[in-house]
Amino acid sequence: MVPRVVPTAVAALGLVLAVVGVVMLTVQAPSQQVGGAAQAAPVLLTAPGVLALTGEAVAVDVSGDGFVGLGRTDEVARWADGVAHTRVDGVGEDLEPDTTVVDGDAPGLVDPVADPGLADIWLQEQAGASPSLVVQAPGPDQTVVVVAGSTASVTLTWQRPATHPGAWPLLVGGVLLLVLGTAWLVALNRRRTRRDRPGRRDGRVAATARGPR
Amino acid sequence: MSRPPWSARLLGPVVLLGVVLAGCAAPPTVDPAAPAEATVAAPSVLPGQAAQVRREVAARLQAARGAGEVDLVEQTAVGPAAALELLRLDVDGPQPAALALDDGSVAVLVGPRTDGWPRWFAAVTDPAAGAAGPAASVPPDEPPDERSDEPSDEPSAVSGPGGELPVLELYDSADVRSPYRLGGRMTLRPGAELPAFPDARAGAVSLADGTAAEPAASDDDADQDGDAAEDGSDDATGPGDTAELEAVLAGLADGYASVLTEGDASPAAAEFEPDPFVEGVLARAEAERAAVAGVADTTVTHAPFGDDPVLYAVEGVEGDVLAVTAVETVTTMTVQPGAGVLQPGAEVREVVGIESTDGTLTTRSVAALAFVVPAERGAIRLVAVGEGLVAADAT
Repeated sequence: MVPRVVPTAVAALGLVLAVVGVVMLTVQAPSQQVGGAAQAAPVLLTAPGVLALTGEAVAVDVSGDGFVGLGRTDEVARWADGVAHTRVDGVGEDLEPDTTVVDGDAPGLVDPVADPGLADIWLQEQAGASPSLVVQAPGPDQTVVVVAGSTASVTLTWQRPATHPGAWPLLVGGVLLLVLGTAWLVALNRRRTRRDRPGRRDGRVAATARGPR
Repeated sequence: MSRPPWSARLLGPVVLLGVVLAGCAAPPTVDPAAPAEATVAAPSVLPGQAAQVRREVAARLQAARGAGEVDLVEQTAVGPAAALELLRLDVDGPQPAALALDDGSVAVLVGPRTDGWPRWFAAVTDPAAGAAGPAASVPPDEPPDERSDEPSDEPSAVSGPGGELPVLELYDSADVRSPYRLGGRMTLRPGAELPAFPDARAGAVSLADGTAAEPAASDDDADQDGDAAEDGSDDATGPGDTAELEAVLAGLADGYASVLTEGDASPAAAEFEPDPFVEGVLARAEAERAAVAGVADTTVTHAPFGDDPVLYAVEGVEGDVLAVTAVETVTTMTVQPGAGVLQPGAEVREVVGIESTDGTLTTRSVAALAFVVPAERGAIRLVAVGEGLVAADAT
């Protein structure tokens, strides 16, 4: 005889897992964006491949006067050669930009920081007060450059249509366990109900009563 | 001790399954995408960039003309275009009402494949589209699905409603931190046909960029200028043809200067298709000589302009090469003693600032010339010319 506690536990476990799955898909869903603020001071650029971190759109916003440009990585590397800059290497575990400060050396032919818009390497560019740029489908060979004052803050935001990878398995598995446990309980109850039916009890009595004849 | 029922034994795996599923629930991570390894150099410019460059150059040139600043002109134009602009500045001074260049639609955009500097690109205007502002038909800058050498569907040359001819514009960028400058503007000859070029987003093979005395002669240039052997198997010119082609290009300006000087008597005459421009230059020189006969002795010389025999050259899909060079013409008229005076024409008079001279009158003009060198190395044909007076002096 199976104790009722077993199917009850299965159903309860399923319920808990399903609830956890739902929570992961809703309240605890991972952010649909990653990124955050970084200092340009005065030049910031993304390392190769970083712009295509999520494969989705990237927004670059600058607080204050500045310049934002999108270019091919190799051309931007030539443009920034010898210029001190902050390089965005990716996104850390805290999902904030992971940066490295790169020292500069002797300036080149022209100080590119003075007027970055002068170069004709930009595929997209914005300059002025609080410039911003949205790169809809960044390629792995594209790089963003920001030139801004030392007090300016640069915010890089990658769109990320992410769901918790365990959420759907938990939800589906939980629902299955809940259904299994519930069905199990129903089956046990039916069996018990059949056992306790009056007709069967009368039959046993009748048989008992017939016995002494 | 009795064995537990099967359903009770199932409880353990079920709980384990739940734990495993929960274990799958690690937070998602993000890693940088690996940059794609470029197997073929990108074109010097993409269509959207080219439109932006043309707008900016037009605006800067208009500002330079308006301000009358030599420095601004030199930052905006180079080569024959700079020589022509500087003369206009010298003669006219600041022109606040100067019109901007037409930065409208382009019918053909040729961006040579390169991963270095200096770099250049050419645009053929589309007068049929009118001067309706920036080209609405400029394709987006996304690279094509496959880098293809299939010719684009764009027409090679079109005429405007009033018979206005397309203009071949050249833009040159010296280094990565410098903007493009206008290198020349040449009007296509009536009926001229340009080679078919690969899609502008794929780029064409560059054979000369105006920096090397011998086109693509240095190791660096061999790498970055997209020589046929280096740049993939889809190039029309094979390695065996390269030396011959380089020789043809290297002799282009000298040969054409010789034809302009001697006409059919030139040893280079057979290399070029007969064209009305040569006939016009020869006829003009003869007319000038005749006009001052008995008063002045006239000499006319034609020679390559600048240090480079070929300013720019790029290969089309079928192996035809578009090559741009420039020729300088110096005309010297020396008045014979006591024979009278020379009265320059209106344009020259405007430059020299005198009505007549009894000494020597020297004029210099420059012609930017675009040629097509056929793949089969037949006669070279002139397809576009942009000429003008760049200096005049009277003593």
